[in-house]
This record gives sequence, C-alpha cells and structure tokens, in this order.
Amino acid sequence: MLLEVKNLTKSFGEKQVLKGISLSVQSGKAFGLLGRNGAGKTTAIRIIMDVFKSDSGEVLFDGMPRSGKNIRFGYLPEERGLYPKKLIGEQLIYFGELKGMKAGEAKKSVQKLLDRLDMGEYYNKRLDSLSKGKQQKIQLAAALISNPDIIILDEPFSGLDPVNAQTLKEIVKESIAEGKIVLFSSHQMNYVEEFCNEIAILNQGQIAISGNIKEIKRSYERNKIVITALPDALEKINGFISQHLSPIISDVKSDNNSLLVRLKNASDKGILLKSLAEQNLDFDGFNVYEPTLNDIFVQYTEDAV
Amino acid sequence: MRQFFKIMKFEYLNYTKNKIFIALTLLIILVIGAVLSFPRIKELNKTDTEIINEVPEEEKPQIALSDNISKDRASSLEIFQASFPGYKVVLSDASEDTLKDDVDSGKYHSAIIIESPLKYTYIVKSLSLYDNTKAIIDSTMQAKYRYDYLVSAGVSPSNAIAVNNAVIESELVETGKSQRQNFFYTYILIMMLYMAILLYGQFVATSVATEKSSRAMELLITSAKPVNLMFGKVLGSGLAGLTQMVLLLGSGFAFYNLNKRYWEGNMAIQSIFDMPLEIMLYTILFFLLGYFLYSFLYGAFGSLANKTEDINTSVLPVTYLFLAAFFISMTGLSGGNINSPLLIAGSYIPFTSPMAMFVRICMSDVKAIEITISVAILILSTIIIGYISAGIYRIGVLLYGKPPKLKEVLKMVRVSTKQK
Repeated sequence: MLLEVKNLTKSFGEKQVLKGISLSVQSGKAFGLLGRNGAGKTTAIRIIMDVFKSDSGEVLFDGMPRSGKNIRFGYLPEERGLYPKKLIGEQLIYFGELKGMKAGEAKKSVQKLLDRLDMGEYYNKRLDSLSKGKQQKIQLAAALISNPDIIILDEPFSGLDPVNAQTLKEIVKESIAEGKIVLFSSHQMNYVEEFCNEIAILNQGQIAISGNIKEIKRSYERNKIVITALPDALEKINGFISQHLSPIISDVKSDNNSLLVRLKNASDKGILLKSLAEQNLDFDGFNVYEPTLNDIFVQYTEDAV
Repeated sequence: MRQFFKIMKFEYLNYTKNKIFIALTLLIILVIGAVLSFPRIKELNKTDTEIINEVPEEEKPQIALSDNISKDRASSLEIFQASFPGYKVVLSDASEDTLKDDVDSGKYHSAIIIESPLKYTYIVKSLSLYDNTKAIIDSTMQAKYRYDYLVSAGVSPSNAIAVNNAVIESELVETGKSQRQNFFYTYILIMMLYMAILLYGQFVATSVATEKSSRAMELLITSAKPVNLMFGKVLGSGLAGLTQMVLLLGSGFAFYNLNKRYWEGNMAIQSIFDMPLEIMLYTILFFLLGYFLYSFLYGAFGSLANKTEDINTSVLPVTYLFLAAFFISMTGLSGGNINSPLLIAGSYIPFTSPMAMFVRICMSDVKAIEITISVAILILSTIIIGYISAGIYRIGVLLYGKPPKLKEVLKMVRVSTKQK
C-alpha cells in the first residue's frame, strides 16, 4: 500500500495549524514525523485517520481516497488512555470489535498479543492495577489488536524501561517486516534513526525538511573534520594545525577528546590528513563530520515558538 | 451498524454489570416492597382482639366539654360525643384556667367551653396542620342551635332531627378524564420521568467526560464513528434506564397486587396502581423520547468538559432547559389548568413536549392526531439533535483547555459538516 498525503491545510478558528503538508510512505517502511510540541504532528495524524477533515488537500491510499475502503489503523496516542476500571482483556476485545473484528477473532488476537508482550497473566486484571510501564504495553496492544495496515505510534518510547523498549523495538521491526506502514512520531531521535529511512520535520505547520535521512545528512557540506585523540596528542595537533595549516582552515573548535576542524574547502581534507600523518601526530580518528538527526532537528526547528 | 450495536451493548453492560447500579435498583425495589407491604405487616402484629375492638373506650383521648348554658347537659354531651367518634367526650365544670392546664399537661386532648349557643372557646395544645376539630364543633353547634330553635318553635324533636340531618343524594358523571382521580398517578409518573431523564442524562454526560479525561477517547474516536459512539452510548444507557424503570414499575405492581386487599380505601395508592395500561405505555414512550432528546444534549455538552469535575458547569444549560420544561408541566398539573395555552404550546415543542404532552394525556382528553403530531415532531427533532450532538461531540472530545462557547462549537460543526 502507498499512503500519500498531499498539501494538507487545517485551521482551528484563527489559528492555521497545517500549512500544506505532503508526504508519502510505502508498505514495509517506517516514516518519522518529527517536530516540536505544537508543530502540527497530532493534527496531521488525526486527519490521516479521518478524525478531522482537512480544509484542503487530500489523503490517498494507493492513489484513492479512503471512502469505502476498509483501511485498518492502529494508533498509539501520545496521551495514553484506556478504561482504567475495566478488565484488560475485556476492553481490548471491545476495541478490536470497534474496528470490525468478530468477538472470537478479537479474543484470540488479544490473547496472542498479550502473550507476545509477556502480559498474558493480566488478561483478567483491571487496568489501573498495573504499573505505568505495563499500562503502556496494554496501550500498545490496543494499537495492534486489529492487525492494522497502518500503525501510527506517537511517542511510543516515552515511559518505557530499556527492557520494555527492547520489546517494543522488536515488535515495530516485526511489523515493518510484515509489510505494514509505520508512522512514527517521536522526539527520541535515536529511535527514529533506528527505524526510519524517511523523515519529515514539521515546523509551525510546514514541512521544514523531508526525505531520506542519509541523503539529508549527505546534503550537508562535507568540510568539517572530527579528529579524535588522547588529550596530550590533541593539544599537539591543535598547535600544529593553527601554526602551519591556517591557509586551508577557517576555524577549529576543541573539546576534551576531539577537534572539530572546518576546512575552507571540502577537497582539502586529503592535505590535512597527509600533513598530520607526515608529522607523525598520534590521532585515533579522522572522520568527516555528519550531523546527527538531533542536530538537524534543532537546526530546522530552533526558530519555532 | 455492527459497530453501533457493539457500542450500545458495551454501554448497556457498563450499567447493568455495575455493582452500585444493581445494589441501588435492589434497594429501591426493597423500599417499594416494604412500603406496599406495610399495612399487611402492621396487621400481622396486631392481636385478634385489637382487630375486633379497634381502640378500647378507656384509651381514647378525652375532650373536656364545659357547657353551663344548656338545660339538658346530658343530651349536649350526647350530641358532641356523636360528632367525635374517635374521642371520649367528658363533661367538666372546671374553670377555663384549669382546663388550659389540663390540656397542656395532656390530661385532655382538648377542651370546648360553650359560652353561648353561638359562641365557644376551643383549647388545644398545638393545632396540627390537619386539625378539623374546629370545623366539627362549628357544625355541631350550628346543628344544635337549629334543633333548639325548631323545638322551641313547636316542631317535634324527631322532625327537628330529620330536618337537621336531611340527606342529599348525588351522582357524579364525568364526561372527560377525572382530573381528581388521575392526579396522583400523573404526579408520581411526572416525578419519575423527571428523575429518570435527569439521572440518565447526567450519566451520559459523566460517561463522555470520563472517557475524555481518561483519554480513552483518543482511541475511541479513532476506532469508531462519532455518530455511532454518540447514538450507541445514548441508546445503551437508555436501555439500561428502561430496564431499571420496568423492574421498578413491575415490582411496584407485583407488591401492590400481593397486598391489594390492604389498600382498599386508599385513594392515592389505588389510583396509581389502577392506572390504565395505555398510560403505562405512554410513560415508557415519553421516557424514551424525552430521555433520548436530553441525553444527546447531555452527551454533547459533556464532551466540552475537560475534567469530570467540570461536568456540572458544562451541562448547566441543558439542566436549565429541562427544569423549565418540568416547571411548565408541573404548574399545568398542580394548577389544574390543563388546557392553558402554555401547556398546549409546550406539548408540541420538542424540549417540553415529553412531559407537557404526557400531563395532558393523563389529565384530559387529547385527540389521537394531536398526540401523533407531537410525537412525530419529538422523534424527528430527537434524530436531528442526535446528529448535531454527534457533531459537537466529535469536535468537543478532542478539545482540551478552555471550554469553547457554544456558538463557536456550532460554527465548527457547521464547517466540518460542510466539508463532508
């Protein structure tokens, strides 16, 4: 399946929340929808799920509007919430049935999912008797219950301990491998990088940048070099560079165990490397600096209020 | 449609599986049972002699009669005793002050001092709200005065008594419904409608606001259509209400029929339980229609509340509207003015008609066509309000922060329906 979002706009009263959002995701791929709080992520997600209508623009599934098609969504909202006083099995079955499953089918699916999440023993427990992390797992089960085509995870890792986070990671990877579309919204960039090839960074209702993460990173000028070394050696290197190589270097930043050297021209990195080698300076690493997703995120959203 | 039934079933079971709901229903049934069995229980405790002799002569409260103007005090005593069968009337020569003390100390229930054929003093410790002793004394004295006058004018004593006690026969023919007889059950049923609609309406509002504040809504609204959620919730709790109502009415009738013998002569109770079947059916019809109409409104307004604590403020407009409808019907009912223009107009306006039309049906003769029109308007507007409420709900449940004004919400609903 191909999920395409074209030029969505949406206003609530005076405030324009989305100002023309476009993106597309293919089955078996995860897409990272990033943005600061209030950037419009949740609104975009709700329009995709048909909770709101957009003011203009369209959401297409395999090139067709949703009407009439039975597209199953699994949703893990950022604001977690189920029925606190109800039995876990009962309410999960209810949510499965709401999405069109038959009672027996839903029950089987719930039992399978709970077992997968190591939560089988809580089938007949009330939700509010569980710890927060376990409630989170139930919330995930609620999202996955109907065997959805499109899984939308809004901040799925917040509040999970490393072991539970590992389980969630495995499940997300399984889902991707099963050919589902995973739409991933998170501030935890390491997770986004782990799953998503494609991202879109939303800023004030617009897409600030979107595309393949690697390509985005490559698009940065490759004129920054990170040199790592032990502190003593690093000092020598720093001294050497500033004394002898100033013609090809625009500036040098140093911290405890690395130097960030900015070249005037990206093609001069060979000269830099050769000079260091000839001087027999002792360094551990010589790498072209690539911005992390975090850097990119901050760069594109800094001006947002 | 399947989704709607799922939601309805879920909501229905939410009530009927709730322990408090079950306990409350059982408790009310128990109270109904106890009240309706009360005369039977009371009678079980009586000994046989008590049943035959009622209250023995010595135990009756005493009324002191001070009559210093009649020649024949014995006949005067006889006349007063005949007027007060529940009391023992005794002659007394004590002074007014002594009698006051005796009444105050409880020796006598009261004292009557006759000062002249047309003047007397009545002494009682505290006049109860329903004390009609004075009226009895008045009529006794009037009768005695007439009797004395007739006898002194030469009429024979037996003729004088006959004239005084002339019996008038009458027959009552009512061509319409008896307002007097129907008043009791109409009153009770209106109170029942009022409480049921208000209670279940509030339940719906609370349930919506709870789902919103626990954020279960985030998942619900993305799993099901708002129209299904709204109609499923309202109809589910409506059915729960109906179940409860049928149980309560049913147990009321069952207990009444078990104890029917003991209620003979009690007009209020008899009038309630001998109500015609059609009135029962109208009760259920108007409960359902009124309940649905108001529950949709309660659901919509409940969706604007952020926290369960805010519900009461959010639903206040609905409660006011409902109270107004209740008072229009109540003033029509207790004022006895069933054909007032206000009540007639109210019986066609959807917000007031569930109760106004019901009062009119119970208390007067309403043409079938009038009922049909009123019910048709009510059904139609309930469906329309249901859809509008679902629209408000769809928007309301995802709005957090300051609750918006109703005008703004309606604008949003209009915009979002246009986009459909």
